[in-house]
Amino acid sequence: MENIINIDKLNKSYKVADIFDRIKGDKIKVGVNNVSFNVKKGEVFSVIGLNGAGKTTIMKSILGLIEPDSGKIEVFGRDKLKREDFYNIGYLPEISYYPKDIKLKTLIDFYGDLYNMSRKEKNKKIMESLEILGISSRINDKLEKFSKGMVQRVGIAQAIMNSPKLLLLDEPMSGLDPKGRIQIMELITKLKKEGTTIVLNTHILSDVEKIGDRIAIIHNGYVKDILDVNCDKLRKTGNHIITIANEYKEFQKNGEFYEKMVGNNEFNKILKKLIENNINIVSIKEEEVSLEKYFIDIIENDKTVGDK
Amino acid sequence: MKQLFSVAKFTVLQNISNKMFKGFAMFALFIILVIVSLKDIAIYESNTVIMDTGLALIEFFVLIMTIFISASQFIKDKNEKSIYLILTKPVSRGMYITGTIFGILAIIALNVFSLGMILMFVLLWQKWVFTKWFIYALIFIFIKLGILAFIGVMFSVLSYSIMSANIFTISIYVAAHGATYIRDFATKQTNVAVKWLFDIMYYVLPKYNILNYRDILSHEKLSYEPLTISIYVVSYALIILIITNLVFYKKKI
Repeated sequence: MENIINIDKLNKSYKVADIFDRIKGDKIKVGVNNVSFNVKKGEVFSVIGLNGAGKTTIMKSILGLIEPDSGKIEVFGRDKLKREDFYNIGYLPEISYYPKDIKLKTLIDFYGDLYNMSRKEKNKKIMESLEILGISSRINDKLEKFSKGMVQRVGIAQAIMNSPKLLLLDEPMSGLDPKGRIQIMELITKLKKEGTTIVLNTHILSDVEKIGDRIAIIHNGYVKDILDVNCDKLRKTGNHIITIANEYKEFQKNGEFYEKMVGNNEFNKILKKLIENNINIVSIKEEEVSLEKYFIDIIENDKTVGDK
Repeated sequence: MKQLFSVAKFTVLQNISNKMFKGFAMFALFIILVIVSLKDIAIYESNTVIMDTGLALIEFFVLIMTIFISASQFIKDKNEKSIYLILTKPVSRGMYITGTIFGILAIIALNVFSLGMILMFVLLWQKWVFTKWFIYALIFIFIKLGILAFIGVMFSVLSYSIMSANIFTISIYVAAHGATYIRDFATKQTNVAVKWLFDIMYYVLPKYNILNYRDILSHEKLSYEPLTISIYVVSYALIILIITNLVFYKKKI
């Protein structure tokens, strides 16, 4: 499958602005370190990590908003994005403020004008995107009346109004209520079906499991792992939970039955013993690991020098 | 080009809907009306007093507005991250900066000419005889503040804080009024380095002396040919715009 984004050995560091940090000798703060990955056409690629892990730096580098120290980024097969490329890109920044005392119509109209659309096309696209996000009825309201979640929807509306081929969403669920989150997840699924490539920065891992295709785990500016949402690493640990009806050796009581977690290497041996001793086996389940557990394990076992 | 004018239009809409801007315009209007009501203070030529004071106040109020908007617009857009939403659309950095400046110029024009028209109607009501030099005075106030808007935006791109951008812009405005004194001072210097420094300052600062509307009103003639003034103003603004764009293309945002 064709790659929409190729990132190769991306490095970016920032000069420390805080005077106290500088006195301590910290002059450079690492943004990202030797980051490499690619995003395939039509997939939902999620970048997950803690706050300050380097997710936004990657997104800004992709968009050419910041210049990397070294490394190569190709978007749509080009080293440097041209102005025309932005007709096919939608972007939602992590945080953005909009002038509060203007109407939603004025704001969204302005973004439509930046895409050089005809009035008819612009109005159609504006209404479509506002309707998808459930804010079309508020078009004549001033933004000062909008809640945080509503403002986030405005941000998403401006990101999708040009029907982009590549959509970059930085923390799109931020400030949304559960209904809003579901709406955005449905929107992402719909856009994916229509062929949009989506890069999603988030730390809400349950959402990623539902809508993502591949995941990059970022910690302290390093890519710790890139994995498929359905990969075995996430689903199977190799451990089994054996449940039996009666008390037997190290099996722990759990409700009316007895359970034991058995590692892959001893599974056959224990199973054989249970059969030999005529123990009534209720069930054998393979242990599944959630993305959250996998992510936390990676972060807790990370030996990278925390230079961020 | 459509994008450039969209940025300009949005800059105007954004600032016109700004509550502070509205309050400011209302205050300026109020002051003009107060002056009119106090016209009896001037025993002779009360209309000249009203006109001179009114024009001076228009320049002062729009000056403060110009400094406030031009020196803060870019830094505000950058701090509030709204600049990302513009630069990730098919809009070049040059278009964004030029559009922003055009928007600020439109705001200055709107304020100078609307307050100027109010002042003119008040003067006509006081039986004042209309003179084209009044319109020239308004145009020259607009040009002076327009140049300052270019400088303000340049400093807002160069600086990291609104405060420093404001201070630099105000300093240029003040120094530009004394440009001829700077030159005189330079000619009297014996130290070559100091002479050079003041000479450079003289050439870098905008020549506000050729845009002085008081001279136009009192002598009823322009100090230079309109073409000379136009070429100077356009060239100066263009140089500032080019410098601003060069800095902005290298700027981390």
